[in-house]
Amino acid sequence: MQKSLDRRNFLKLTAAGAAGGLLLGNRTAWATSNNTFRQNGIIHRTLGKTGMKLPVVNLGVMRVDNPRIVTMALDGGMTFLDTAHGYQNGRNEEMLGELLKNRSRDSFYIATKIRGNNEDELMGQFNISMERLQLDYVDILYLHASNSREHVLQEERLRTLSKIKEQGRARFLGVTTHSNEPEVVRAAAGSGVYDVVCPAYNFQMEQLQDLQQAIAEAAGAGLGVIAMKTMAGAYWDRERQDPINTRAALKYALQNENIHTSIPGVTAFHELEDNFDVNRDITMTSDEISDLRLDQAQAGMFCFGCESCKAQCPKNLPVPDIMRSYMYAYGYRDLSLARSTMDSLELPENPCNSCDSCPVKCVRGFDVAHKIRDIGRLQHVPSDFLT
Amino acid sequence: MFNFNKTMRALHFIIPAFFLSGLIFSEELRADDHERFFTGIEGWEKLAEIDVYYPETLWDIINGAADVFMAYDFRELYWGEYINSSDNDIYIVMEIYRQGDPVNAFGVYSQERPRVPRLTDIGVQGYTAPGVLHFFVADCYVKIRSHDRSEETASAMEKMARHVSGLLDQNPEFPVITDMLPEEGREEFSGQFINTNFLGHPFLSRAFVSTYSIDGKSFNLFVIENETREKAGQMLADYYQFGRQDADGLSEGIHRINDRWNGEVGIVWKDNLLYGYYNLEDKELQDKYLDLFSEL
Repeated sequence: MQKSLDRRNFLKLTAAGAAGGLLLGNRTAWATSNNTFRQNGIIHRTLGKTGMKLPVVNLGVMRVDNPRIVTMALDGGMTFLDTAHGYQNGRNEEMLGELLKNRSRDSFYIATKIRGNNEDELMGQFNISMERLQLDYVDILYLHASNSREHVLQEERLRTLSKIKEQGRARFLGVTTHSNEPEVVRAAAGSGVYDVVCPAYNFQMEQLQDLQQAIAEAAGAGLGVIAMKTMAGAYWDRERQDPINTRAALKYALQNENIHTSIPGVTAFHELEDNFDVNRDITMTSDEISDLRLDQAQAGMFCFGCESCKAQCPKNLPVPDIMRSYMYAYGYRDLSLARSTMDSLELPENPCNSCDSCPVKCVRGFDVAHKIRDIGRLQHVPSDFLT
Repeated sequence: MFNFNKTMRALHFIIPAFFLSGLIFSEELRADDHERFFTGIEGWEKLAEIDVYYPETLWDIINGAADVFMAYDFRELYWGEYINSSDNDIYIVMEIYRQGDPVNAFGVYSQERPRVPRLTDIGVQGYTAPGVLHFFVADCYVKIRSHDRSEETASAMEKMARHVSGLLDQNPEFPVITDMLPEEGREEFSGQFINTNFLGHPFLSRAFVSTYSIDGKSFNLFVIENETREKAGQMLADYYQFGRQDADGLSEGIHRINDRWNGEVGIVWKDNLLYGYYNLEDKELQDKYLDLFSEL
């Protein structure tokens, strides 16, 4: 048995996995962590170093014109509201201000966004926003719609945002981005100023692999990560006749545990009810996988966590966790995270060796034993080669 | 109270006017002659390229805000920029959003109109704020903005606005639907047109709603127009179904829906129109408006 492999040889040795990784392209790659837990039946994650424990689905208020939708969201267990200075030319913040003044301040979290080139513009917008919201502080104040490293790190912006935070009027600072996202996320993560990033993130993004890497780096640095635009535009076609399965799209985004929460926009009660369901179960069904039209190579990498395999394994191996590690290695090419995931499982060496054949019948058709053997080799790669 | 003559006239003409207006303006505003909207202004240089954005590309220029315009049947955006001839750091941006029809243009405008706007006489209605001039006319919502607050820039913005408004409609008027609710107690500038998901329901669409304040009570009245009487009836039946109420044998007249999210919603079905109230708990006022709508 080869006891020591380097990074290149690990991937080369497992040809099928490497090929799968190449075929996977930029679509699926999942981090693992112990940051997912339930409170009152609702799946929560901690928003990085902010310590805010949030449901995985919250409310993007941008287009809400019926305040009862916000009420229903809060009464239904969502705790985080996302608005902006510019939404509905300020009416959005005004509506929230009227509604929230009757609620205990510690019963919700709220974020707003400002944009500007200098302190006057930024501070002016922020002061108006706080008047509209009728609040003493917001939980997150974003620099809105950043699209470059220079924009994120412009000195006057950083100084102004920091000043607001020092004044206690924003608990945490963040940046939102829906163009050039990987660069913006990395810049924010390295700034030492921002606590949260909020990038567009969905299964259709062309640069998803790079964005996932950037998000992993940001989460690793302790930043909170909030996904927006998870529904990928809601339609497949330009004519908007062929709707995307938005529940599947939302679940897809949440498979990545580096995504701490999401803020899909809602204008109808049934959409909110759908999101309540996702807050209680982010497991993707095979139909949902199919609806997202992931090609076979991609689907072949994608364990959607149904856990039907767990009862079948005579060794009681945590097969879904191992499969996620596999995807992390071959899909994401992040061997360090794959290794740490495997280490956290505390598996015996060659856990499948004592079985002559594998009774596990994966609903996705995975050759589970083969994948476990491949990913098991990672345990023999020296840590120095994995960084 | 109601302007009954106007309202009855509206009932006769609302459907053809609504559909024809959209066709007329769509024909006028063809994508290949949008350049004429960006007129020359003395002291300002127009950037050579006027950008045109369509539903599939609107996101490229306004990002997430595109969703709002798409909800109001967005067709095209003409986007142009002017630079001050003597100071190239000063610019004006003009955005002309062409929506599906005048009612939708009003709809998206009303989504962004301040609660207390500083009105200007440009277009059907418009307002100014420091560095901002917004108005709607015909099937277009026009947004002009600059970072510069000087009188010279404001004057140039006004000239651009008047030019566009004059090209689109010499005698602009509010869409008929905005005049179909009672005047008494109506809060000024509260009127909004909701094209989709009215009251948060996918089966309710194309509603004009206003906020009212009478005797210290704040509530909402609305009117929904449908293309046909049958579609109005179907919309009502869908609402009954949502309220888990028996919808068999529905007929024109008064209806009360038990909306588990919005409370009781009173509706009067009259031909292709649905009038109604919500956020209204006072029984006397409920009866008053149901009677009023029934008498139309």
